[in-house]
Amino acid sequence: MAWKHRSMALIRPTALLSIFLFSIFHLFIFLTPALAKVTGECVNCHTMHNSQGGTAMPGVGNITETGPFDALTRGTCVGCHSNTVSATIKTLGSSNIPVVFNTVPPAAGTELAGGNFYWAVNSGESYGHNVLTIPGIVQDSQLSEAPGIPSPASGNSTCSGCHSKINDCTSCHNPYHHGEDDRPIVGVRDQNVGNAHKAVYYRFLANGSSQHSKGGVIGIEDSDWERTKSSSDHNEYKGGILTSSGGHDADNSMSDYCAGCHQKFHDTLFVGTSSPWLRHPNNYALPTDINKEYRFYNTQDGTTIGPYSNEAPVARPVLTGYTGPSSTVTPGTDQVFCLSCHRPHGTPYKDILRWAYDPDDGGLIIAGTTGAGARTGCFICHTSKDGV
Amino acid sequence: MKKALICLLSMVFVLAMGGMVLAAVSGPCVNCHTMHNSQSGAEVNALGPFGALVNNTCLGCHTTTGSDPLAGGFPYVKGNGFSDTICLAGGFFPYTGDDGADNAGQAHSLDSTATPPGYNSDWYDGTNNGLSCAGVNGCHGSQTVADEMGAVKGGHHSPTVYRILWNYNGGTPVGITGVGASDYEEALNLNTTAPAPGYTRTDATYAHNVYIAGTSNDTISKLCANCHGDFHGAGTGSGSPWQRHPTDVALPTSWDPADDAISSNADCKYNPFGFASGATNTAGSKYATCLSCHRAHGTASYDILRFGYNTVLGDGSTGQSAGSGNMYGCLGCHSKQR
Repeated sequence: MAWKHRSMALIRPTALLSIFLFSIFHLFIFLTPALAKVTGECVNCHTMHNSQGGTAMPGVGNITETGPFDALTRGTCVGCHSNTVSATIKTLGSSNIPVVFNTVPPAAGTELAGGNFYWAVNSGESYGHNVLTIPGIVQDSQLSEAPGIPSPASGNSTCSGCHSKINDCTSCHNPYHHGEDDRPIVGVRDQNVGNAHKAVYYRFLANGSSQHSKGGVIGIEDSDWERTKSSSDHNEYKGGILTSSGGHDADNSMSDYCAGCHQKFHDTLFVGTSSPWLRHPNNYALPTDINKEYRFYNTQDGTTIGPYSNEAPVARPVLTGYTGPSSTVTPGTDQVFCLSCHRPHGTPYKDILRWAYDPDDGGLIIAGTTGAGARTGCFICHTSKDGV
Repeated sequence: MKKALICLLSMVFVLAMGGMVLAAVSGPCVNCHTMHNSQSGAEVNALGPFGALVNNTCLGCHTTTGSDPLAGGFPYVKGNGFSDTICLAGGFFPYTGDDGADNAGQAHSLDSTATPPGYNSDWYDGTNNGLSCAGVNGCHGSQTVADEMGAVKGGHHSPTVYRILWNYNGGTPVGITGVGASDYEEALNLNTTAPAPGYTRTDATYAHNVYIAGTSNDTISKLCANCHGDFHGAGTGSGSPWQRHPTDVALPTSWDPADDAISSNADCKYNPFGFASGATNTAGSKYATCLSCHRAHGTASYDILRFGYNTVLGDGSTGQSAGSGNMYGCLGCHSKQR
């Protein structure tokens, strides 16, 4: 397994103390893995009868809820994956739990890769997916169905039957916490062997519906969910193809999964097949054309390509051969995809963007700018549109 | 994404590139672009989506309900109350009623499927699709590209040619060159009136375009000839007596304007000269160009002229009269007929 080693740069002990602390440090790591496949004491998460000392088990979550809960857990998804303080990873016994819903602002710079529902609750419905089991989230006041759902006129009248609202976390996740995940690349196990529903996909992103028997998402999971991150410390997302079967391509890409609800944003019939695009492309490689701006992705000096950007990440169409995250981005291969611009849970920005796009939202994405917005956001890929 | 029917930019800045002054757009991306043509469950523009992720059509963005053709630094070609005084260098389309009709010959008829007068080529597809702004059906951008947004690609953010104009050139487009006034000649048009006979010509003080003319393929008249080929080159004859009014031809040196080192405000507005390829100002030999007499989009005069010419048609002008002493319009060049 690939464990994350924390820095010890601030400590200057004697040699003996160094060895002692080093040992304790690794013992801690082995007891508290940050992986898709959970480990740790069963009691951290489960209760057999929801009873202890003659009373119902208290929830482990940071929201008020009463069991019993499915799979003998001690709380709902939200219950376990929420926090009343700003920390975005919390500990249950010896288990580290990624937090996707803080009831106070998440600690700056430590939000996890998927974002945080705090913003959906506190900033408004445009700032996160409306998962109805999150306390404080209600059905979107303007959306009766997922944006980008094909209309009945386009021959897809049944989508809204399932995709009209997000009832709970299982609308997107199939949380098989104890499945085999074949890391470093999670989700590559042959899903047709045995019981496919026990398979583990990247971040449990697998559909459990019989309507879409295309499996789930493949990817490399950052060991602390990108609480700490850099160009060489991050998730690796799988890219894929862009066809006229948006959301049903079975390429196990992140964007194709998003397209399960947002098909019109991923289908060539609605996006186009090449520039000038009708909608922003995804699962499409950064062009290598020397006359185009994308070959300077995330440039730091204006003349050479930069490293992988956590602000505007790329997807890899093929993850075979990857043993971990890479800081290298290769135009012509690596792709723009849905999460290049969005996070799925919630962000401080409208439309669940990774940055503020609209000036009304404090956005600095201004063509020609040489100010603070230069080389940020959209300009990480569209390198010629800012003023630097 | 923000819904916007009319793009507003905070400012337009000018890039100086090798003598050509080209305007690249600036301002919040959200003003002109929508990623998915979707906001709050509704389409940003019901006519969309549009290529290049813009949130409106060409005219949708370049039309104003106001009367300032350069409000906020953004160029408008269609607006309420536009006139020969209140317009930009290209002129203006009718604010109402531009539905493919002839517009009384006062503007290019957008959506018209008529064959362009003098057309003698094979690229134009507007007879099927209607005249549009760009591409195979229009004027701007590459006339080898069917999609309007594809045709003008690069022209807004990284302009390399004059006013996103290209000479079809047999299918190998050549960029039109020239110098664009930083205010698209808004001040020139607003502050310059037709001078009285015998006025003293002075140097131009308002920003103005510099049109290129001559035998090279980058002249503004070559662009016009893409559609109106019979009115250019061989169709005009090879010399005096001309069979059609010549363009891309230098004024005879014996003519007053040819000897005159001055291009006045009145010249720049009513009979702008062309200058040899590479020119960055109005010095040097003076040429006749299509735009010496016409504007591209529309004017208040018949035949999209810069001045009244045919009083018989009743366009309300006093026309151009030999012996009147006028020194603008036709007589701006034809000094012997003043």
